[in-house]
Amino acid sequence: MESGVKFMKKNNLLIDKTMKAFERVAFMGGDFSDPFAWWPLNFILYMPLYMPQFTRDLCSDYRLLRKSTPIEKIAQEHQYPTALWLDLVSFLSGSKMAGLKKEEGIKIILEFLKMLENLMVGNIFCEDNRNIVWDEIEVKRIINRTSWVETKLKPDFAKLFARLHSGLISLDEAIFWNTNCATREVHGPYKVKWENTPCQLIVREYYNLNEPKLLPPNLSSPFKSVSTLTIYDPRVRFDFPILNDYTHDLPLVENTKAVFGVAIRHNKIELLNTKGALKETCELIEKKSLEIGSWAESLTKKEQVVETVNRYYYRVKPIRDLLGKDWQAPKPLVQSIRKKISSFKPVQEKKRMTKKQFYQIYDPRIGP
Amino acid sequence: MERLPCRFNYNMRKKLLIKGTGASPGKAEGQIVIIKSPAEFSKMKAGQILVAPITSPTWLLVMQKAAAIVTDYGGILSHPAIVCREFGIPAVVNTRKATKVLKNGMKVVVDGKRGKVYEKK
Repeated sequence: MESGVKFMKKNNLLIDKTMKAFERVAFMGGDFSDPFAWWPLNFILYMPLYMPQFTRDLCSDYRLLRKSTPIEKIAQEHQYPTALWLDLVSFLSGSKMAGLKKEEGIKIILEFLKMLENLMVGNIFCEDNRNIVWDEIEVKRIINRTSWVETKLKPDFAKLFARLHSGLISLDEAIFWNTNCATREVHGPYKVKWENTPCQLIVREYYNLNEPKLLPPNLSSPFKSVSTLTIYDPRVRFDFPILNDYTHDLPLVENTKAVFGVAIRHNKIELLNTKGALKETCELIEKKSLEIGSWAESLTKKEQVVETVNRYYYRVKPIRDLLGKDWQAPKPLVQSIRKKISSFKPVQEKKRMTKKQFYQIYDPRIGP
Repeated sequence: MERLPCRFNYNMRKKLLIKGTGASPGKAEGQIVIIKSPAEFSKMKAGQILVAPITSPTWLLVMQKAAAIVTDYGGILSHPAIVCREFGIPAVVNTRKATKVLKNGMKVVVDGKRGKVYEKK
C-alpha cells in the first residue's frame, strides 16, 4: 500500500483533473443523478441492475490479463483513449458496488490512469492545449498535406460540417445508446497556423459505424467510418474533448476557418469536398439515426435494458479479445435482468448532491 | 428564423416564463411548438421554438428546423445540448416543466446562455 500511496501522490494532479471533469459534468448539468442527462434513460435508470456485475467482470478480466500482459500493451490494445477513459469511469463509479477493497480499487484506477497517460502523452484534458493523441510532426503533416476547404470562400461548408457533426453524434448515440459511447474519438485542440494566424485543429473520428454485432437486425450503416478535421478560431474554448464534448461560448459555425472530411462508404473512400457529397452524406446519416433510434425506442423496456447492457459490455471488448473471451454480457446476468426488471422500480426522483458528497463518492482517495 | 442582435436588451421589458440550464449560447425568438413524441413531428414548422421533454437521435430532423430548443430534462452532455451546440441553435435544458408552463403558439425569446425563456409581447 505504501508504494501505492507514493504513486497516488505523483498522480494527484491527474486524479484532481479527473474529478474536476466529473464535477463539471455533474454540477453544470444541473442534477448529478439526472437520468435524462444521458440517452437513453435506461442507461442510468437501470444501471444498478448490471453495474456491479459489469465492474466485477471488468475487474477480474483486467486482473487476469495484468498477470501476463504489461500495462503498455493493454493500453495499446484499446487504441483510443476514450475506451480506456470509459473503463476508468466504470471503475470510479462502480468499485464500491463491485465489492472491491479500497486499496485494490485505487491500484486499478491508478493503473488505468497510467495507461491513459501512456496513450495521451501528457494532460488528459486539453486545458493547456497540449497534444493528447497526435504529436507535432503528425499535426504538421496533416496540415500541409490536407486539401482544406476554406469557409471564407465557401461559407456553406461551415454549416454543412456542423450538420454532419450533429448527424454523426446522433448516429453514434443511436448505435451505442448513450453519450459515453466507444465509436468516436474527438481529439485536440492542436495548435496550428492558418493563414499565418494561430488557430486550433479539432479531429473527429467516427469508426465502427457499421458494427454488425451492435446494429439492429436488418439495419446496416453504409459508412464504415467518417473523419473530419476542422480548424477553428482560437477564441473558441474546447475544454472537454475526452468525453467528446465541450462547452464554449462562441458559435462554432461562425468561427470555423477550414474543413476537411473523408468517409469510408462500402469500403470506398469518399472525400467530402463538394456540397453534393456532403449533403448526401448528411442525409444518409440522419436517415440512419432515425431508423436505428426508432428501432431502439420501439423495443419493450425489458429488451431495451438488455440491449443497453450488451452495449455497455462492448466497451471492454479489447480486454475480452485479449483473453479470447466473447464480449457479450454473461447469459446469467441477462437472465437475472429479465427476471428482476418486472419488479425493479427505478427511483426517478432526483437527488441534489453537494460537492462534498460528490467527492466522497467519486474520489478514490476518500474512503467510504 | 429570427436571430436577435447581441445588443438586444429584453431583460428590462420581458417577463421571465421559465428558466433552466443554458446548454447552447445565443438568442432566438419565435413561436412555441410543443412536441412530446415522434408521432407529433408533423406539427413542427421551420423557425419555431421546439419545446420537448427531451430529445434523442430520432428527433434530429425536427431539431434542424428549430430556431431554439427548450427541454424539460437533460444536462450539458445530453443529446439536445450537444446537437444544439453543433448547429449553433440556442438551447435551454433541464427546465423541469417547460412542456407544462409554455403553451403552443406563445411568442417567446430564448436566451441559451443564461438558460432563460422570456415572454415576447
